[in-house]
Formats: sequence, structure tokens, C-alpha cells
Amino acid sequence: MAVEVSVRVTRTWDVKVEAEYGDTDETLCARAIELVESREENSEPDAQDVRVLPDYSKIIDQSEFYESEEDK
Amino acid sequence: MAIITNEGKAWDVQKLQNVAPNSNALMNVITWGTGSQAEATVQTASPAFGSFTESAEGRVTATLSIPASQTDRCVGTITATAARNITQVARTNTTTVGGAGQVMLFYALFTAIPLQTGDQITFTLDQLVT
Repeated sequence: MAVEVSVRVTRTWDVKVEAEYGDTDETLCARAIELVESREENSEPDAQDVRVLPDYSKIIDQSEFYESEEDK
Repeated sequence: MAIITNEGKAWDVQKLQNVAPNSNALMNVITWGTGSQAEATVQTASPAFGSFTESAEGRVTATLSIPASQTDRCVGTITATAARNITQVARTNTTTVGGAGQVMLFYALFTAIPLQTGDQITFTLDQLVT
């Protein structure tokens, strides 16, 4: 037997953009992303405030079944 | 590295033969932790697991599935209630710490994932019977 662990990290932002004539879902989303990125560029550094997450959407471990000395 | 604990192995065996009490609970609970202790195959301490530092968010009921005939999958999402550095995940069978028949099936320690309040991690924990 083996075990695998994979993780997906999700962060959500609460932003509001005003729609203009001709906007589509795509253009509204693009403006919301720009707004978030702009906020982050202008924010003060904070040790507890991690702004960019690495890509954790990968398998951390794919090890074979582990046997300790106690198992042997 | 992720390991299956000795208790987890015993739980697997008991489940196959419907031995009480552990056979009466599904292995569908996920918890995360902030400790740095290496995984250990013995997790008999009660109420908390011996080398696992559970975070304050508590345990969540996960979704079980069989995506392939030999894969036992458990997927659960936990939301941070404060800034955390998550380093551990475990699969267990009780939502209450120290609950009756509590068993940790498996345990993984990994590089810390820094979270802000409201951030979420969705864990996919697979046990492969190969």
C-alpha cells in the first residue's frame, strides 16, 4: 500500500467593480484582478501577511508504504 | 513523507472483518496541524494524537470516494480562522478530539503552508491498495 497527499490552497478577496456599458464577465473579472494586484503592490509588508502563495497544487508526497523499525 | 500508522493498519484489518468498535465509524475526518514532529507509526496518545499538533480550526468531515478501483480517497477543506503555518495533515474517524474509537489512519508532515485568515486548504488524501 502507499499513500498520497495533495493540497490545493485557496484565497478569496472581497472586491467590488462597477460595470460599464459593454462589459462582459471576462472584462469585469480582469478589472477585479487588476484591483487586487494593485492593492497588494501598494500594501505595507507584514510578516503575517503572505501575499503570494507558492504553487502547492502538486503532490507533496508519493512515498511507498512506510515501515518503521517497530514494524520489522 | 506520509505514513500509515500502526493503528491505521489495524483499523483497516478490523474494518475488513467488521470488528467493533472501530468498524462502526467511517474514516472520513480530516484535521490539520502546525507541529514539526516527524511522523510516527504509533499514535496512541489520548485525547490528542501523540506527535500531531492540531490547530484550533478543528476537524472537518470529508468526502469519500473511489476514483479508481484500488484507490480510497478522502477529500476535505479546512478554513483558517487566524494566520497559520500549516505543516501537518491527518485522516481520522472522529470529529471530536479523543472521541470514542478514535484512530489516526495516516499522517503527513510537509513544508509549511503560510495562510491568512479565511484561506483554505483542500486536502486530497489517497490510500492506494496496490
